[in-house]
Amino acid sequence: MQLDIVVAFFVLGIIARVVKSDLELPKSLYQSLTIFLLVAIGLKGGVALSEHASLQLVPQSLAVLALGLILPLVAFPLLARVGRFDNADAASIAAHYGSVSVGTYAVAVAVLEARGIAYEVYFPLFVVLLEMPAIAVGIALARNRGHKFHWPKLLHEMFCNQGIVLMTGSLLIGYWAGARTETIIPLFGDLFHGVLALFLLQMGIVAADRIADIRMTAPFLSAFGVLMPLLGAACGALLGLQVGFSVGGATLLAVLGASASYIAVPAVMRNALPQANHGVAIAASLGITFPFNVLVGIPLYLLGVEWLSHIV
Amino acid sequence: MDRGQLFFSAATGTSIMAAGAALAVSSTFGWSLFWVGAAITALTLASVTLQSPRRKSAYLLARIPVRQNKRS
Repeated sequence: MQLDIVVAFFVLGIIARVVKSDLELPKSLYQSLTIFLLVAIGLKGGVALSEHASLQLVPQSLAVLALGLILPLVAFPLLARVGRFDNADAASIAAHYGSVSVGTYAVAVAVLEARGIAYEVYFPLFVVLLEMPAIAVGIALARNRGHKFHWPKLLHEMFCNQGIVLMTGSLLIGYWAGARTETIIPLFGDLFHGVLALFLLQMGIVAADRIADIRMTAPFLSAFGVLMPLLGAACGALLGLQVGFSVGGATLLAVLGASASYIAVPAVMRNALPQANHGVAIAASLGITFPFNVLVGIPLYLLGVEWLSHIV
Repeated sequence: MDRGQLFFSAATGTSIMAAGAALAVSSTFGWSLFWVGAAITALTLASVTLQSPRRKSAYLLARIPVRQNKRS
């Protein structure tokens, strides 16, 4: 299996910090990269939605949204009670693990295509859908535990933060414009992996900066970073088969359930929970869960879905 | 790290090892999951060893200057 080239840039970011290089992406560039990625993901889902819109999508979308709501609620108690993380950190990590990784999704698609396994082509829609509920649940968990519960402010943060506005807006624009998005696809489609590589370079620097925090809880985070994707994949596989996805589609939903975000959620949670240590979440997501999913998880989830499809 | 975290890590590591071994024996999946579990278990054991009270005591004792016995 071929590894995603963008991961190499994450490693480069870590190495740069280990050798004490002065490599640093300007803050404004990092913010621009974040905006680009959020728009690109949203547009891709919107275009897919315009091409494959049908009533069948409603129960499937609801199932995906339910998965996005359940996963952070499973992760949060583990992190807060067993892992002894404070509420902001636990909520941030839970949001990362409830959301999805586009890189892991891309690898899963490549594996399915290499093995000739069919899947639902409108799946990018679910990638976009699954980004959102975990962010909302993560913010709600942190605010509910740490501060007084102000509904108007909370709802505003849930639905009007940069990540949600950009992704939802781009999804709607992609759906409305459909094939007309061809005029902007050279920017948002073709450059996606290059921009993702630069984004991951910065993420590698951030993760290496916070490596001291991970050392303290390395056994716990490594166990959590492997257990959580296994639980997420099991939920995704069962849910996918129940709502009528093919074996390929259920495998992709298992992969989405197993993956942890490193694009949209870090960007949103940095703004929503500035007091949280997001380096731990990114390091666990990119350093443990992402390699596990790519090297071991995806073939395992495919095997599991094939096995479950005979039973369910 | 407290006992709860170490117990969680050890239990997760050994469970994944067992599941990985069962999967490797009963299918063509290979031993990769087993080795992931083994790595988590080894990391936990290393953490327990480094944090053991005996090791901490030995470290602290080594830092205390040895007093010379004075003859009265």
